[in-house]
Amino acid sequence: MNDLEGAIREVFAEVAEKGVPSTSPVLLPEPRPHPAAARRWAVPAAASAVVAIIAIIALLVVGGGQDGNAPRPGSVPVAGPALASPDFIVVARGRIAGAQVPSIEVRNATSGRLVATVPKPRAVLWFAGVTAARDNRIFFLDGVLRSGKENSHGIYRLRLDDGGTPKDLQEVRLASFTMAGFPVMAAAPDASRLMWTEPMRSVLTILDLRSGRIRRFPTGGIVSAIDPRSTFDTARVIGIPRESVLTLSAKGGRPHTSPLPGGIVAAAAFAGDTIIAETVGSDARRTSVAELKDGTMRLSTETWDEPTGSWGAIVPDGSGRHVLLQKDGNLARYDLDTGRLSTLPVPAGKSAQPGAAW
Amino acid sequence: MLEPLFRRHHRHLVRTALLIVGDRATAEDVVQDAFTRVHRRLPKLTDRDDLLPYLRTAVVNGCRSVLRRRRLLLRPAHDPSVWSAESAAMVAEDHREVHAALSALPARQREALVLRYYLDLTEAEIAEAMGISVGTVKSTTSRAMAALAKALGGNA
Repeated sequence: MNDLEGAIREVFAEVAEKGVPSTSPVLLPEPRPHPAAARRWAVPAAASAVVAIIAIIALLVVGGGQDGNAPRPGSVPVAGPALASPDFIVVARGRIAGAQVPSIEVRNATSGRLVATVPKPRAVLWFAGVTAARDNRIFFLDGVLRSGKENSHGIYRLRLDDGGTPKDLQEVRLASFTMAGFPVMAAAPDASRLMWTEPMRSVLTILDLRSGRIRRFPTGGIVSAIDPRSTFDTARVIGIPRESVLTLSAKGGRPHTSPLPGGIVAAAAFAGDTIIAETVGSDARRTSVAELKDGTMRLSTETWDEPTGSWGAIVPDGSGRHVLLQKDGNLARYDLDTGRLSTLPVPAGKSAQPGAAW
Repeated sequence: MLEPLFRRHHRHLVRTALLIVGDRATAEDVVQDAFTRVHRRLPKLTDRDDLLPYLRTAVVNGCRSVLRRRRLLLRPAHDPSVWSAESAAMVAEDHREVHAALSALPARQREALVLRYYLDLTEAEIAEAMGISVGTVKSTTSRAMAALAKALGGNA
């Protein structure tokens, strides 16, 4: 090796090390919080009497094949250990025709008691969605803006103190966007990243709140749910609807797909390592998709006898043990361990969105 | 199948892409794309026991696409390039002349040098990664070295 070759090697090594330091975190998958084994998706008979789902809908979903357009990650923060039940729910309400639009409400997650009301910023017409960053009581709200273009949205960050009192509500100025409909949102556990998908578009947007960098990635289909590591989307392959979990943090774009017989997904949410999906098809059913250690996906389907209504929307409560849902105009919490559905004494109204909780 | 490969080589591949495209964010995107592409092509790949060459080729191709789009002004870099004059300050003083000479090279020549002197690939491996013949690798590398020697005036 002559001097020039040696110098080139040294410069390359130095530039590479400075550009991507050895001390920078390797972008490895964030461990998904695993609920205790006993909590894993054992549905008691009691659940049969509780849930319902149904309606026959023609398969409207998504044309095009599932070709594994896996999303790519940003750096993934280390997951916190928190798996406790949430203390608070933040309820973001939809517009109620002819009535004064309520503000955002913080409620006790168990009793439903109103803890605080968050004043709505002047720029916001109404709030359409909310998601929680689980480690530090930060919530992100999707606000439909009063001014600007039609369907203009702004993202707001809400922080709660230990007592649930809102400490501040700030607009995330980098995240304004225009779209039809409302996004499916998720936040990284440490609130460093916010991600959303637009309705009826197979695009995942990831906003790094520290750098302001926005990245957009195609997903395999219409996304029903996202969490900080994965998207859950529906695509049709040769006319067969499939549910696909694209793992964000596998970095190799590891898509798990599984056919879902007889239905399409109307609403879905990640709950720990499980995806709860309301499927609409010829049978009442609930679907669980579990991501196993070996990277394969197990899908099981439960069918209930007494369909009494649609869930409408599903929101994980972050503990991996419950999901919040809207059922028959009420907010309810579904316990994945016991199959018990408890109605929260929260005046929901037809337009209320189940809030994020933590 | 890809996860062990990711754990072992991701950082190195990002650094390689960084040296070619110039900025880390783009490099991360390129490498992620490369993993995704290889993943999608897994069923068709003949040698699944050694996926690294496929990944390297995918990274190099991804870098080229990025540079091509930049030339067409379709996609600006996320951050200042590590080959910019401003970035020269981040290398040791006695390396700055070499840094400047490298930054003045055409992208393709620098790419060949990165594969040769950063990844330590053989000429055959470089040819595979760049999709060119071994002879073209030799001539490209030779021209790059001559340009560097000239720029450095025999100081290196």
